[in-house]
Amino acid sequence: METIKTLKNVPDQHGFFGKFGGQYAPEILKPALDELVEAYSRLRQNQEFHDELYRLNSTYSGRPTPIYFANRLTGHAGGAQIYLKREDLLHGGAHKINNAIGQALIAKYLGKNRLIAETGAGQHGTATAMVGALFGMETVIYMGTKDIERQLPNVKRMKLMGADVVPVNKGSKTLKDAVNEAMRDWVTNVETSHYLIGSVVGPHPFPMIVRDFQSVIGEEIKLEFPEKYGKLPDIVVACVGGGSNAAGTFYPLVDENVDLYGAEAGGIGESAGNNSASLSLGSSGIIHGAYTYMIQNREGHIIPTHSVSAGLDYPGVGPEHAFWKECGRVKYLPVSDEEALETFKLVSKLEGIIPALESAHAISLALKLAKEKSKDTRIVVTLSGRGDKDLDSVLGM
Amino acid sequence: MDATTPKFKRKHSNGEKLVAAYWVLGYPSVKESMSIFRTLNEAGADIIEIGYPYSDPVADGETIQDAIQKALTEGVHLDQLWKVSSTIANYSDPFVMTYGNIPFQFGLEAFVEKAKQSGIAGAIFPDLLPEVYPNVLKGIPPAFLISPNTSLERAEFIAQQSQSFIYLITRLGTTGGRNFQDKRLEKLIHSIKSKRNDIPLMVGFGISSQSQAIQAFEQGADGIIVGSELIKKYQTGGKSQVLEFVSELKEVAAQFSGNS
Repeated sequence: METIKTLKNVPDQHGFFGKFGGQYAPEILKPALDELVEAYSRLRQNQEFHDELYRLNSTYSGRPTPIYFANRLTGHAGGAQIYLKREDLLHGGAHKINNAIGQALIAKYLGKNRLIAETGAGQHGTATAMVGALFGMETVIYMGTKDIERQLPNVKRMKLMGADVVPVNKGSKTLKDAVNEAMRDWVTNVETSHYLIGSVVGPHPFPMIVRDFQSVIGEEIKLEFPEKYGKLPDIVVACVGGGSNAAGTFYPLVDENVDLYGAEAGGIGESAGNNSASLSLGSSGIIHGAYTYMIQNREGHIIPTHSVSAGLDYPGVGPEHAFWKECGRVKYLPVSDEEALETFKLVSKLEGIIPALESAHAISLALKLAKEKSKDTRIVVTLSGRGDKDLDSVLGM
Repeated sequence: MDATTPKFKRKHSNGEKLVAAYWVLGYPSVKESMSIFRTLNEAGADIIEIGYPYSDPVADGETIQDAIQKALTEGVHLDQLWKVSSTIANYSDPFVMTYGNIPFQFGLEAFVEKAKQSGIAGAIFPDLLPEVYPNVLKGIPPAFLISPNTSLERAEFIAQQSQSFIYLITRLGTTGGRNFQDKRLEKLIHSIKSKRNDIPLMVGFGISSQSQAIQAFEQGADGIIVGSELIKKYQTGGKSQVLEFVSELKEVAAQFSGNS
């Protein structure tokens, strides 16, 4: 008898994906984490919760998103067919809303009416501000002062929707420090607040919860693609910073016969400090509550990362990605700033779609793969967000 | 109890109340921090917690975070930790307080070995829960944290798992002074002590005055831990203020000690 092999049966009850993940968190968070584990396992079985999530996904966010055949991009690559999963068309312009709605619903069921979030590029902060307004919850967003400077339009959007944006002037003044501050806020206000973490990172159960809410991306690919083209795509590509759109894209497909690729921020070079490619260029360790891959020095201190894309500029990555890397299920490759910028412009010109710089990393990798494949090969790339937010940083260069 | 029993445990079993003092290795410089560790000893600190700087100290408040940042720019490395703990071990009980990624990168077994050789009497890793610690740093007696929002059931579990002392956090949030959440705390102290009394129950995260120390002892604590306030005292009045404050706390502890 054939044994059924699945990679979907993770994490275990302690939050481990193989040796990765877990809860490397202060005791003071333990009751809140336990409460969340318990609440989430209950809500997972709750039809009312799913109905409400489905209703909001379809009427507020704009799901399902289309899968678009990128004809001219395909012609340009001259090989495999390239399809784009259009998460950029969602309300707010990015996949972040999938997770924000789900977690705000959890907060609502837990009776918590204050949301805390961190943001780097401002996309997750914006999504949290949106759901804060939607659910009438007090919303506090931590953002590094360096990020506030480079993502001013998003700061204005968050404030307009009623969120309190708190500048973080510590450490590298970017996303990792915003995460630290958000955690400190949660530690202090854990009884009234929900920490709406923005990616598949942090202590258990966050990596699982965020993955589950983002899995709507992969589920739709799994459903829509065979309906239209007779079978699943041969290759699926997504960009990986913290890794939420990639986890949501890959998870429903991990047991299927599909090659999976993650595009990381290769930045301006392979040496530490020049990139944010935790999986392809980093090493394993503890960051923000989980054992995973990260960018660190020999002593174990987290070191500042670099990427042209603020959304990928993060020194850690979700533990499930570390697990997929370790068991060889997903290949993670770095894409340089230069390649991403080139692709950003190329996709804008050829398709009339301005991709987020984050997503441009994924498309760039897909173009490379497409060139080596035959014309009957089909590649789906998750276009995680739109690039309007990046115009200043790209055109200012 | 045998020859290897740390001094603080003997004192505890003799009914003495304890004072633990925390300082960041490398703050404001490596050399000055070494001198401050000597000061803490002169002042009579029963346990000296060596805060080993980590780039992302999520469980620490502003005062200690800033000190850690400064220390990191001073170029602290683990050799200095082993050295300073060996010295402290001659007169007091050195503890190390840092974060899990430091031993993970050093190598877990090597870290445990070095810690033992350097006379480290116990360790506080705020991000290694009792469920995790034994798989990681077995061999260095842990002091686990219990927070005001920890359930009684879990507090008992944590107390059972602790091997050096039990570290009771007096308030929600990070390190640094603020007010006690009294009634809940008192109940927690009694409940823990009724289950486990062979190791001291130390109270920390917010001791910034003698009166708070008195309150902690009145509520049944076996000892107090002071950290952020020492850094503040140093910043305003230098080492002599640190010496004075720890000495005052020792006097308070003596007043509450069994036979004095």
